[in-house]
Amino acid sequence: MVVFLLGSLSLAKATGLLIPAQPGQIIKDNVISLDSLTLEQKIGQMIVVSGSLSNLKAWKKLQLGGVHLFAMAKEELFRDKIGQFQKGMTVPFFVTVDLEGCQNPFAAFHNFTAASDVATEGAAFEKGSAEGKYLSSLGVTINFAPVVDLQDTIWKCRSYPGNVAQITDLTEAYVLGLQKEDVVATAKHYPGKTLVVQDPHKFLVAADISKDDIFPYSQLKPIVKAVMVSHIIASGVVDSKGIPAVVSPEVIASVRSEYAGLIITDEINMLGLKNFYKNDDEMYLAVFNAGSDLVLNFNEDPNEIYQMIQVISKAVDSGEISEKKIDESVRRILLAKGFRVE
Amino acid sequence: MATVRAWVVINVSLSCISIILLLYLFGVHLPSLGQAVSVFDKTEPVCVVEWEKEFTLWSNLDQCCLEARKQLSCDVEDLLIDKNKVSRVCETGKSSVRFHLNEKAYSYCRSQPIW
Repeated sequence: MVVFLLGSLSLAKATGLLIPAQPGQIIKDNVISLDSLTLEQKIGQMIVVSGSLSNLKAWKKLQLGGVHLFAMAKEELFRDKIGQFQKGMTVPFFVTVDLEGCQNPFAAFHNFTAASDVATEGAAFEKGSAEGKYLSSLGVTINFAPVVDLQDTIWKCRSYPGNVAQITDLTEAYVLGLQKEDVVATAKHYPGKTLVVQDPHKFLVAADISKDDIFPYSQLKPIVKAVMVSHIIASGVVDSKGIPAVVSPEVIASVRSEYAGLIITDEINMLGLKNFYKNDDEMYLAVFNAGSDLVLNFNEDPNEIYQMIQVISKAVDSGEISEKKIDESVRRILLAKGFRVE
Repeated sequence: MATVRAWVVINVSLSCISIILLLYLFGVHLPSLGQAVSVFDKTEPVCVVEWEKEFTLWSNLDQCCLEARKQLSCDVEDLLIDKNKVSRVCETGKSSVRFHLNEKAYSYCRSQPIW
């Protein structure tokens, strides 16, 4: 009897049934008032999780900001999954994918040109436009592309070809093509040099960042709607002061300078980031404190995502994290989702 | 009719299960099978990225796990790449990038919270 009871409780916990649901959101004439949202709802909007159907109910209860989709075998599976996630949501999820370089979650049934094979601005614009049309038709709202790193010695297919000026022009054309179709483009991985072969046996990746590395971002900032920040420990023209860029308030501030778009973290379950902290809770605090708008956490355990929300909520209550900063991020997120915010 | 010894075995087993369930309910995570396999396997983890028949060793195992996780499937293979024996290939389609992992890397990836 005891085992049965404990088993049932464990099953309920594992599937997120013990996570309390957030209250309904109030939207009038497409306007959301930030004051009408609970703190947990606001923090939830800042999180993008893995879009596993096993966690569908939990993610909906938590009213999270977005779901990221991995590869699937058929187009209908994408449509069906996106439909299930968006059904009944007052504030829809961002639906995100990695269609970039030679990474193609649709490769089982749909091919796209690799970034490394794109030589002209016209071709880059066409690529962005074709991908945007396709993603838009599926209901995908954010593509984590283009890669703006100047060099790719690992995959050899993610970066655009040419020198810094050519790469900037090609990525700019791709962004214009993609965003023309109402899909948010994401310039990544700030501040660069994330795709260069590093010393083996090292989880921590460090690089000296030059003016060239960040030049594309300065050119893209007026048009690109999102920038992704990496876990690289940066020195040089961008200095993260010995910690990963994604938890460095100085680095995030350097992105935010003259930029009104979304700042997105790279996925946070990486030893290169985790090794800096005693536990995950400390890491969550550092990530939110640094100032990104959207945090990618693909942890498949819904209780861990709920725990992250609780940790940040307590930190806001105690004044460790500014609620004003949370509000500014949620405002940017809701605006990007097409709402007016007051 | 069960013997006394059988009852003892049943009760001890149920107690162990209860303890494990209780620990889970209170947020204490025990190592998974994948983690255990990964710890006892003393070989070096290997991740190789393949694009258009070009193979590159990738030392950032966590990033490799994330990218492998994004693929449609990870199937068994038996391949030698630059003296590295790999046993899994994670891919979505023939036109997309592929990731080759040895058993140590694959069990490490499977033990990660993102998998």
